Amino acid sequence: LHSLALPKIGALEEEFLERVRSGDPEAVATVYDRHHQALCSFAKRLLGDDHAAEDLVQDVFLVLPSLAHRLDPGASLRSFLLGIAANRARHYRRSWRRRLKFVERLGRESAPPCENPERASERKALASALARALDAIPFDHRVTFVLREIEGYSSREVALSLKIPEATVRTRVFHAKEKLRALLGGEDVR
Amino acid sequence: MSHDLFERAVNAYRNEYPGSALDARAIRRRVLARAGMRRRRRLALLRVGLPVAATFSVSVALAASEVGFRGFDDVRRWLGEALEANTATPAPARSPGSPRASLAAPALVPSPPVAAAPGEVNQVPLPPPEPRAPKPRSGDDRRRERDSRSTPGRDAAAPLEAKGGARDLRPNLLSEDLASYQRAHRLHFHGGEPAAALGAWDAYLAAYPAGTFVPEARFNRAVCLLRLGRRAEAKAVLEPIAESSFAYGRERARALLGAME
Repeated sequence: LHSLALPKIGALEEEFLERVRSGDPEAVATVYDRHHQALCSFAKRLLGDDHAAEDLVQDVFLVLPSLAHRLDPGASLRSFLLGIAANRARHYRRSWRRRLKFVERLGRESAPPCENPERASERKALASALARALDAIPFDHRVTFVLREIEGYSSREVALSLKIPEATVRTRVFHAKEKLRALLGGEDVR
Repeated sequence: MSHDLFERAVNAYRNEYPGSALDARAIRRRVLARAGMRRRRRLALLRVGLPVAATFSVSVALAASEVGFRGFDDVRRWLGEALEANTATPAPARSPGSPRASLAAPALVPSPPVAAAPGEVNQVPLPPPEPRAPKPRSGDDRRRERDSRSTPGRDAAAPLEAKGGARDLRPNLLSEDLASYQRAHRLHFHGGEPAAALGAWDAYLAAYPAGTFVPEARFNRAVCLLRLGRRAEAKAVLEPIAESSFAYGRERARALLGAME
């Protein structure tokens, strides 16, 4: 589970940062190669829809040069990118409707032949139920929950990404869990 | 819902929604293509915009600065078109049969700058600008004219001095015949006495036979003669003017001669 491993926060060289700010494609490519997995994973799990997630990731790297002036040398570039993604994901709410359809389709699909059909079916049902529940909770709770509980980032990094206090991260996660449990409890997920 | 079931749901969600499902290579391609395009567009904008902005800034700065005008004055002075300026000579009244008074630029031949006493600037009004045919002058005339002026401190570097110096030089660029010419001009256009004006024009022409305003003085003298009824004398003066290929008042002299016939 690479996504659960604590990400390393590297210090940025000012020169490299300047190249990013100037929109140097080579520098943007370097940032992409270093951080695209984290962004793709977060975008996919936040939005659910592949196309919307790809658009979001692309959007983040395209606006990076114009927003990079807010990033100080030594700051976490990944946190910065995740924060951009979280903010811009608000514009992708429409894609959530597509996602709902996707989830429903996923539940109807048969499991791969090599896998235990019962377990696969149960896993899909659980994932679908959680996806629906995530759609029902407030956006801020949803983003915080995905970053902290699904992606596995620390409260500190989530706080850095969303520019909120760590205590707020913990509070949001707590409330998100409560709501999700309540929502999942009302569904027949098994 | 139990804690265990919730954790299983989270794990299931994690497995069912992997980030690897996205086409990272395609995204990278699109990002780099768009980034390169933006960068090229920005560079192109800089290449065009910077020179335009710089040109505009320099133009505005030059226009706003006094130095720019001073430099312009210097150039004009060197070209011999100085002193067409802003002095307050009263506008001449038009009357049928009499030519519109005009005062031409005094020196068409570049004259060396001359140091002058401060304060003369406001004392000697300059004539309003009007195109005037250059008067062909011989070398002797020029020499005589130069000799008739007091020209202390004449040197080639003077025109390159600062604006203050250029302003001080202005009155000296006017030939000394200007005062005499202005006196005759006042009598001619505002005195209402053609005889007095004629006397003033004669005095001017006698004192400055190679003066700056000789063409104007000759023409105006002819007008005075006409007003006094001395048509033959007027005709004698007007005919050379009308026949000249390029002289002050040529067209008006022709018109007057035509009217006389």
